[in-house]
Amino acid sequence: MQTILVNNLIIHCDRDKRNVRELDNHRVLLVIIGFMKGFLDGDARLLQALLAGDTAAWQKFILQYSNFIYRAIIKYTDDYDEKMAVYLHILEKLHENRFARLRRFAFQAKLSTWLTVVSRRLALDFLRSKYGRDFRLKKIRVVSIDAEPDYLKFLADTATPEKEMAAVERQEQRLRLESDLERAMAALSDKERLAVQLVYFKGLRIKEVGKLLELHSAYKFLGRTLQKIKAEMEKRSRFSRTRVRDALEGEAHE
Amino acid sequence: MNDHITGEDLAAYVDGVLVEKKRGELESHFSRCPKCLEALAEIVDIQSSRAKVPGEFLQQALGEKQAVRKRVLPMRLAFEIAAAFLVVIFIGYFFLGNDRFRQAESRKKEKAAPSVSQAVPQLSLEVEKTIPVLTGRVEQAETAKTKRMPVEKNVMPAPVPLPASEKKQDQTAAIKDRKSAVLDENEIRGQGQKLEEAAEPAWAEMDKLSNAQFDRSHSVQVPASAGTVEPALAAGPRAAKQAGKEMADAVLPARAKKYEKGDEEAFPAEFREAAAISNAMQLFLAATGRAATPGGMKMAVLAPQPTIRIEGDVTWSDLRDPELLAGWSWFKKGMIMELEIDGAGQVIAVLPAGQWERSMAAMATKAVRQLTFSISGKKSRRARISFIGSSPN
Repeated sequence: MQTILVNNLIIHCDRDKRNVRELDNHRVLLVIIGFMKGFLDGDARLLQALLAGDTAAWQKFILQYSNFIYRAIIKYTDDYDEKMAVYLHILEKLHENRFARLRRFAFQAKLSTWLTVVSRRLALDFLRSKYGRDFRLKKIRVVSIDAEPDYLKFLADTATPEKEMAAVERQEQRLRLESDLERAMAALSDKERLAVQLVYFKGLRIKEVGKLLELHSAYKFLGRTLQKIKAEMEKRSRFSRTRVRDALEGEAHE
Repeated sequence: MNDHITGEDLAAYVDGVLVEKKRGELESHFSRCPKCLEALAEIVDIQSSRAKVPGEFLQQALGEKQAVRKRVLPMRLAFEIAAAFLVVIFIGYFFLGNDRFRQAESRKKEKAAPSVSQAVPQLSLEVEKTIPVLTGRVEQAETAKTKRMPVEKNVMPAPVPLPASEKKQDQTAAIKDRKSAVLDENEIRGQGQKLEEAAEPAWAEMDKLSNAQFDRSHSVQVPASAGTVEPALAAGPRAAKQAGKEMADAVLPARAKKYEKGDEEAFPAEFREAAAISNAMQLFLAATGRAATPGGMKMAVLAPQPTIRIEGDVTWSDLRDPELLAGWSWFKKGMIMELEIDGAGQVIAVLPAGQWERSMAAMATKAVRQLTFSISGKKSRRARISFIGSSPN
């Protein structure tokens, strides 16, 4: 694996020099920086030996990075044999075409993180090819009725005619709330919207999101964002304080 | 950004290595693209996991590779063993292939005589045998000057001057008739041979005296028997030693001269006292089980191994045959010997310093003269051998 600079055109060559492809300067700069970094962390040296066809390097790679592959797999399946099948499938995909996937790694991120992304993608492809696109239903973690799919909620709510009418009303109310929330979210900045989505829709920890988005104080940031959403939603008439108070008084009166 | 985020960018964003502009673009995309948001959330979630891959997975993955490793490993082992052998051979050649080993061997053949390491272990027995001899020996010294006298003098560290021995031989006229043949033979053998006789330790002679029940004729015949046993070829190295002894006369201090002259009056009393002390010491050592009994029966042969220091112009590492020192069980605390070594590494003069018994000094002088040092250079050197304490065992 060589990088050659010819008239400001950087060419990335394989060892046998048959597979020559041009790269943009930015990518090659990252490759060079990655190799320099590799002298410190050893990732690049391992990868270089791997791409040179060293069998021992492949074994070392398996021993060193199998944990990252395995963690990506267990996110999508609990079955032992299936985990084994997915694990071997991922290794095979990484190995095929003389490590073609690993050659695409540009040392921008850590090899472990990149491998996690690739393993997730390969695991999803494998499982979707086996079970179809809805394979995730095989691994449902029931937290509350709200986490269930819509049709299950509907069945649960329509046990009696009264409940069925109430369920319909609630469904309409939910739809209205969601549309209002979407509008309020649209008014937020990208970072604020992303933080809210990751914490409240995807269930990540506030600490993790703060680290990911490089927030100084994630709790305060999220608190301010929620205040913005609340203020935005209260602009709508049906969520005004007077209407809410009237509704509460009417219930109390009944 | 219409396209989805690539895996490389996603990983870089999670690692936080992107520039601010690129980060903003990606965050904008994440917040609007549910698919990429899902991927981002899952990657962060996977990264927080600490699960470890089961060993069976690794075995399955490395199954074919391990077979390859089995073929490779013996090759590597063979190389490692070969390298270890090379190192051993190199070390052996370096330490044993030099002149030190060969010189020691040739020197042993040249001398063809029992070494001190064989003689010294008998010391405890021999010293005991000298003790009953002492009184008879004193009487003999008073009655007549025999061939035994130069022997007594030569047990002292300094060499005996040749004229003195000749003079005493002339004075022993009554005995001369009986041993004329022996003396003629000694004269024929030359001056170097005489001094070789003189260098025989007193304890060896006294042993023979005791066996002969103080028969003076036996004591006179001792040098003759020694002369017949000693090969004529040994005269050469002995002559070199004689030259060294003459040099020692000039080098050694006045105290050695005093011993050489011999205080005829003080010697018997001093010897008697020393014998008494030695007897008591032997009894004590026998009682404690660390040495032989006075009767000669060894209760425990293994006395504590002495630790000997060699300092001066030569060191311990210069010693060609350090195994000789292993038998120096008689070498005790307070005993010091000053050596004069010639350019060939031979000990040419010995001066006992510190606290010595006379018999011990004579024996020690002979033992030290067996030592050889591997030194280069023609000038003579001085060294000092001293006892620095017992080993922990």
